[in-house]
Amino acid sequence: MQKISTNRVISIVTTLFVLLLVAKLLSLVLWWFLPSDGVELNAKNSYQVKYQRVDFKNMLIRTKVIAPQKKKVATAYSINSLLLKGLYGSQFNGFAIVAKKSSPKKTTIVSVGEAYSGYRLKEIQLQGVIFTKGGKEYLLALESRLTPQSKSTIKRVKSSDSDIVSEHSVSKEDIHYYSKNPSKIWKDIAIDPLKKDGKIVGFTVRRVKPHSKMAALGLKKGDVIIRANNIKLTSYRDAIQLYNNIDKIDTIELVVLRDNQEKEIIYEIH
Amino acid sequence: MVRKLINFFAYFLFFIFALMLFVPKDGLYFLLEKNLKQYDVIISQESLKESLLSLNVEHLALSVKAVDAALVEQISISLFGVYNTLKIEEIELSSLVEAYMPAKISSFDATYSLLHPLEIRAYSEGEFGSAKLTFNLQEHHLDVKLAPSKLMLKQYKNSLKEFKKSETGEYSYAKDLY
Repeated sequence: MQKISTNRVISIVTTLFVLLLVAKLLSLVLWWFLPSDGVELNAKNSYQVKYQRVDFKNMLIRTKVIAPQKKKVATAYSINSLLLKGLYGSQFNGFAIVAKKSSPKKTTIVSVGEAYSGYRLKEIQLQGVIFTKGGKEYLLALESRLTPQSKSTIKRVKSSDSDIVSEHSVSKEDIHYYSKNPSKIWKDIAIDPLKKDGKIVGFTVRRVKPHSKMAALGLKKGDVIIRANNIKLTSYRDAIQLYNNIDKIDTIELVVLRDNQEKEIIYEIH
Repeated sequence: MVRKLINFFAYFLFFIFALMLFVPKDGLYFLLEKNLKQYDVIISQESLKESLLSLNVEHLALSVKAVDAALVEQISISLFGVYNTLKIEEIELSSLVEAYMPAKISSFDATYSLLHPLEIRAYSEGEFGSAKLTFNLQEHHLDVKLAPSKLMLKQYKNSLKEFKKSETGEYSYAKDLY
């Protein structure tokens, strides 16, 4: 066996010690330059005030009118021969889409003040309209209210592209179906984030499958969804939070940019 | 000459060992987190446990583009310089991802070694079946070989359409990442 001299041992130990020292110094340098804390998800507080449609003009009018209005509704007669297919507007501005029960597919648009089948349209309400005939008032409720359906009841109530506000009725079954099958959503619609200076400012609708449920909701290719229920959509999280809570809400208000104009789309979930 | 080379190699290994021993592993982990943030991938709620040559990250929530993507029970990162491993255990994907693949992944093991200096190799198992992944660091090319489970074949046919099926029944997926 070859005997290792003391000098050799000292040399090896010294070299190892120097290497340890260099490694320690290097790690200290690394420690100086490496970050001392990590990244946490800086999520915004998800608490939101429940979305409610507020129209200050209506509020002012209602303070004077709302009490007698209830009385009128209570004494109104129902019209059995007509169907209310849709409505738009509030109180004394707007129109109703009506049809006769004998020919339900033949619809007519009746503005407030106009007559239809002997009845004169007097007032638009949230879920129905009031007609007058012979000094009496008649309440005509929306068709979906009269005949609850189990299948899809998406109804486009107002369809003109120039409208600033459009309202739609969506069935809970559809919402439940999409919430349980998120992959089905992306078959009917494609949405990409719109970024400005690296930050998301909205979500652009890239594709809407024609004649799909999504197409019936009023969204069009090129629309930029910028707000949902008064929350600016500045991250995927904002959009997903709405999606996750969709079973718990009864109204969704989307604000979209269409042709550089803001358009409000309101969905009442029944 | 050979003796000198052996000595040099032995000292080199000792130096790497010492460096890995002293290097601030939590700092390296925080650096990794900051780099992942550039790709909108954020790891949060985690607890770090540093040992001599490895770092354990436990009970973490993974989010992609600020959307919850998965919950992970444990990640073990071992750095030996010439042979480095990253082991992930018990991954539970969020319900959103579940629409595209089964939620539970039992393990994901990735290795980087000097034997394959241009590749990161990984192997994963879960309810989806098993998969071998290779990522080429030079070409930024990802290659996946999937052996799908019965569940995957039955309920996630749409996801499997992204893969190419070979004659041997193996599913493969290739993509260049930039």
